[in-house]
Amino acid sequence: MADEGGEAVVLRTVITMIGAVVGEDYLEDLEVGMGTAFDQDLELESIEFVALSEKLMEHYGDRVDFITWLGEMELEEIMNLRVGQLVHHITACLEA
Amino acid sequence: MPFADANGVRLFYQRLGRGRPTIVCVHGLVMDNLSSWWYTVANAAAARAEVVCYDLRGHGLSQRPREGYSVTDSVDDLVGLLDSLGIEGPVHVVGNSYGGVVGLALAVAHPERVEGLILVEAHAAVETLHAKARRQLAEGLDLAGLVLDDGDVNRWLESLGGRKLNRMATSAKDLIYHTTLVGDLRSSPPFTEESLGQVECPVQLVFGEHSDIFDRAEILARLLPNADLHVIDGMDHSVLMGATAQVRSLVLELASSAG
Repeated sequence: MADEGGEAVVLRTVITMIGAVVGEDYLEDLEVGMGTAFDQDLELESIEFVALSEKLMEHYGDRVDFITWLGEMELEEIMNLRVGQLVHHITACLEA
Repeated sequence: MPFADANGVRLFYQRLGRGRPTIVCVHGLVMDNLSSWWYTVANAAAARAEVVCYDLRGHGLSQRPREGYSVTDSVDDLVGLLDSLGIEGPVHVVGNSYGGVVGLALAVAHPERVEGLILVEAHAAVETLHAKARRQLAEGLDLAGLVLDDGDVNRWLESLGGRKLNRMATSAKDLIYHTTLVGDLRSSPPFTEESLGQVECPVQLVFGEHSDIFDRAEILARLLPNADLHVIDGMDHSVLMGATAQVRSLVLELASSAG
């Protein structure tokens, strides 16, 4: 079994989930990496980011705490989130 | 993805945290959805209490039927959601703009389901204000529709806004022009002084100092028997986004109260 908590694997999972939310077609012309911003680069609608977090919660279950993490952020921080920050949070939770 | 069948409509919701009290967040009209609460208050409050946010019918990821957008329909949807989630006891409703109207209408129609209210910039029409209030709410929506339908503005949105703004604009136009929302709201009856006088639960009213609907703050504070008015200095109608810390603080206080 591949190392589910490895950064590269988590990044692939996050990208797959983004595709599930916005549609694979939309991602075809975009290169999504750790530095990609959800708002500025992907132009995710805020309700789509909620849907993404829901899918990630369904995937990782209690092993990753999104609620506390997001609850400690200011609105602007969530708006400016980059894929890498999300990946780092997930990997940190999986390693803990 | 969590959807509930409520009052015959499929509603998208988020149920976060656990324990008591239960706080239900209701968003505003047309350009809004549950994310405005989810981004600002809900996750923080969920560390201390159970929080439910949902997309009103026609909004966000919820189903968009062509009709059923009166205030009474919104209340029936909310009751249906609570029933569907098995939440029988009274809840605190935290509503922004039209969401505040829904919370207040729930407290009037089903007082046994409501433990308390936080109404942020509640767009409530009261009988003494009715002609003016109804005109403002409905014409505000018509105006948004007219602006969005203007070719120049549409082209400007497309060139400047990209995917996100285009999707929001398209969705708003569909809601305004292809559902009964505007007409349903226009024909929704106002709150009567008598019905507001019977709302016994504690109500926190939060309004911006420069809000264009500050007349609602004054009349609600006068007619609701157990209301406190919080006026946010220098703020207009956009209190939730512009004064998030103050709103969050009120909700966190509530979340810590353990009913």
